[in-house]
Amino acid sequence: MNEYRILFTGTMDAGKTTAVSTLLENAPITTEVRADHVLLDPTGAPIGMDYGDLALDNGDRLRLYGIPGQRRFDFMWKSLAETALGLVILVDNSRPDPLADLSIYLENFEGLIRDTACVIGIGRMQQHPQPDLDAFSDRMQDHGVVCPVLPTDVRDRQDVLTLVDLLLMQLESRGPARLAGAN
Amino acid sequence: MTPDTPSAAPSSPSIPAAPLERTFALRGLGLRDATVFKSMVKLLAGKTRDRWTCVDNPQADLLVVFGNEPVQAAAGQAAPRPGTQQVIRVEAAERGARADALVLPLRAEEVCAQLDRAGERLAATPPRSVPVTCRLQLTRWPSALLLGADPQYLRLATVLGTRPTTMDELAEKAGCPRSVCDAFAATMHGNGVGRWLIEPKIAEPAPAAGRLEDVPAGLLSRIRSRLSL
Repeated sequence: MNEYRILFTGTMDAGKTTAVSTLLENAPITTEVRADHVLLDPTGAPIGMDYGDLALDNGDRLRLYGIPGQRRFDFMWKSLAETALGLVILVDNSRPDPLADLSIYLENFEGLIRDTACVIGIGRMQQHPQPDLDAFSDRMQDHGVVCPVLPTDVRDRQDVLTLVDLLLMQLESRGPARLAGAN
Repeated sequence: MTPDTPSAAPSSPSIPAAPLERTFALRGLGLRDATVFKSMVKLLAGKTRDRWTCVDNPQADLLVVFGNEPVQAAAGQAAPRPGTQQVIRVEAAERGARADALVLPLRAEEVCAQLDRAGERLAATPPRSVPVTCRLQLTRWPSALLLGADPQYLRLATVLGTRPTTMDELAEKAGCPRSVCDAFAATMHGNGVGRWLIEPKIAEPAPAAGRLEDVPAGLLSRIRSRLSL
């Protein structure tokens, strides 16, 4: 049995847990707290990472991780990123500076984005239309990243599926040399 | 890599774009006039609509040709690019010169105007013949206006954002008709978001250890199946 990972990252309340939960269709989500690096959030609760998994038809598992992306949590995601298929970045457009938030994730996950696949979902755009998608695209260009960026309501399963679909499409587009004959 | 220049379909949405990188080649001009022309182009950088670079390549976006010198390739040279390549004629005397020609001695404002007109024609002319080996590269994620509400365009941009792709490959990977791919490519190129690479594909570097080379056959289709994608 092999395990593969898709990582969801973003600021607090960006919808990482909801996105994972939406994909799992009510399957249980586990929150793991690393005993060797216990950190506390502003309320004093331990910070962990959410994950849930899906069984594939050959017995392999697809694990979906919701992970904090700030650099102080890099001990959490560095090992996860090594064998990840790709990264979903969730940005909360109601925050004071969503573009700066995006920059942080593009910098922190630079290697993963370069080597695998990445898609960016912008949340709460209906209530907070600015910055718009083009501003995010400009910011991605500053970081040399060309990947899908689209409005996303993480409560809507179809929206989250679209993110994953585009992520898989990027992996498929890389061709057999990089995918070692996948599909 | 050399950008090539098929361009926007007439119905494409158009947005103010950053100056495009264009190339020009000289043919038949004397050494002095060629030097003057290239110097003027350099001095005009920032004033012209696009950024122009002189190349020794008959497939440049623009050919600057002296007199009635034929545009066809000389023996042993690559042929000029069919389709959208533009030509500016340079002629020796005002008397009898064509209205659209540059006249010697060269004047900077006339060179500037001719370059801008050539740039406008390049941007406005739909591609007639993009060689099948040309690959389109997205230079950035397209604006929402360019993508519109068409989910096919979202898929096409996603595939192209991964790596430069020929139109045939793009149609296959995105599962879209070739005609849609051509229209998409024209829109991206015409708005400065995509550029054509006319040089042959170079072997890609090996993937980073421990990552994608470990993806086994069938995994992605299994994931799609499990998520009902």
